[in-house]
Amino acid sequence: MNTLATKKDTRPRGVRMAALSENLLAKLVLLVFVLVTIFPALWMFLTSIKTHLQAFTVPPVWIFAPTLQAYFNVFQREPFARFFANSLVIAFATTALSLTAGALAAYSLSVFRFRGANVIGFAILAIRMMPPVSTVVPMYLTMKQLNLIDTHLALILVYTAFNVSFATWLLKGFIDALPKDLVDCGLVDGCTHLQAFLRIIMPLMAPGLAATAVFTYILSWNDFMFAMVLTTTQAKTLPVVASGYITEEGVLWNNVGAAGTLILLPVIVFSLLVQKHLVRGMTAGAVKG
Amino acid sequence: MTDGALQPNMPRPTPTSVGSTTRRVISPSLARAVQPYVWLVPTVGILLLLLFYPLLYSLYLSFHSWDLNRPAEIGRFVGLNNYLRLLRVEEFWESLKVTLVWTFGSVLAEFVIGFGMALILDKLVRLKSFIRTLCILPMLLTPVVVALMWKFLWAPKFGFINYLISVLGLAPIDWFSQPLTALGAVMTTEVWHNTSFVVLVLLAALQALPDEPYEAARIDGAGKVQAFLYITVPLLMPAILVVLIFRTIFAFRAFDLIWVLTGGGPVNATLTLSVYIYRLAFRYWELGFASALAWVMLIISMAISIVYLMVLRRSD
Repeated sequence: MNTLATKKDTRPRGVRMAALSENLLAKLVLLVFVLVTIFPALWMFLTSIKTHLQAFTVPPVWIFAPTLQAYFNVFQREPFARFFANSLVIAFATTALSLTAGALAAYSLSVFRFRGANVIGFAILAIRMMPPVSTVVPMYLTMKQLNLIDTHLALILVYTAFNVSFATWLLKGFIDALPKDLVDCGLVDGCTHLQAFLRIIMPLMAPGLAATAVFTYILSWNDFMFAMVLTTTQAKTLPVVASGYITEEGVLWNNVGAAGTLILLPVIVFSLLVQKHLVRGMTAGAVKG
Repeated sequence: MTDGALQPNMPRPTPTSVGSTTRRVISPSLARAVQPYVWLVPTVGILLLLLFYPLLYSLYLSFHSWDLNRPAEIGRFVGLNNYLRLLRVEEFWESLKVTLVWTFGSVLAEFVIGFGMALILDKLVRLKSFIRTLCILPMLLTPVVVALMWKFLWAPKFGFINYLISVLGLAPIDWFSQPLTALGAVMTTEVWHNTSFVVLVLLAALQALPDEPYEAARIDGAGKVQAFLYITVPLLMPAILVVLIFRTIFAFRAFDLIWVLTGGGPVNATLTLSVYIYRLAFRYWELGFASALAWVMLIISMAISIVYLMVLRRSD
């Protein structure tokens, strides 16, 4: 008998039909889900390659000759490239700082068994629970007093402060998942904790570090409120630029589409690159094992 | 006795290299005890300096007059006046109401839709990783851009949504000009933004459920609804709670979407607490008053978070 053949479905006909229609319903729901999820972004992208007249046309134009005019407009209207670079630099620096501080803290909380580890871990998580808007006013005044308004440093400091807890928590989760004896073996062989950290744990944590890095990067890239408050002209980041489009008369939606597409591209690319680990990080708290 | 010779219980000085004149001042056991904390210094230092200190500064501001429209008064101690003034201002109560409707409304919608979809999509085992990839995208998109995408969709004359409505034969709606539709539109955008997170977490939890209880139930003759209520829901409780509380905390503080879509209007219909604070601080420049409101919001937020952390610890 050919054991590789699929087993004949011997369930009663009613049960088979029910299972089939369930599957069909599921696929239908998935289709709707996919469409609803993708449509807004897709629509924005399509708008970005239309002329501004086509963008306003009702009924919507589906077939048209694509043009990159909107993208040129975006770069001509203001120093968009500089603002893009601002976002890049600030997000990168924030990620570097958050990962470093977070990895060190995660190692401490995970590897050292010391009294107070629980309390400190709790405190680090708890302070992150407060709404960012509670610190906006003092941040503004402080940065003003330190003459840091409209600098990269101001945003880097703020974003690092807001990301370091999450980075610690995520990285701790990844370290906890490693075998417990790893560090002990290293110590027995005569290395210090610092060496164990750098040579044993960090290399094994590469996916965890990548996922945390992407998360931190995206959070920094996306922030709007602090960027609005702490920057004016030089250090402006992309979300602030994007919000500036809507306060004008007669918004040119194809330009908005172009700007939006450019802003979302890095986010989408980075997310897709590490999505497996992002999913793991997100669902870890809810799913055991 | 203690003439420099080593005694049994003295901490031993670490051997130093020949010719070195330095001596370790810290004993090895002290160094070992302190080490965990040293590793924590960067993170804790950053948090203390850049989060904790601003919070205290904010508290300080809330007890003083700090209205940039009245520079002569800046720094004058006013005690609880800012807080008392909050209670008298109608906008405060309006924004409180809007925040509650916004928070619980969106979270409820996200949960119901997300849970429903997770239950249905659970059957599609082979498409699992595609679904997960799809789910992770919307919530990571830049909120300001999400707001712009949807502002375009909600546009009264050429927005796609009104186009769909007109195709169905109904009259197009000027979404952001009336309070009810404005709140509805903004909440819909928020639900779109975040439901995929609910789907992601609940789907993962569903797929981790064991088969045995369901087998036993089937043998005992239990129906599908019973299996759902008495097996699925209790087993999913940790995931459900994580999702609900997580979403509540973040919906409560939402700012970007609302600010870009409506700025808090029309007529304060979408004025949540964070939008109100921002407006008070950076449009009206009443920093002391805004700080008081920020602390009220913080206290409410802390209450929600305490529930979250308590529930988390209990389910560990």
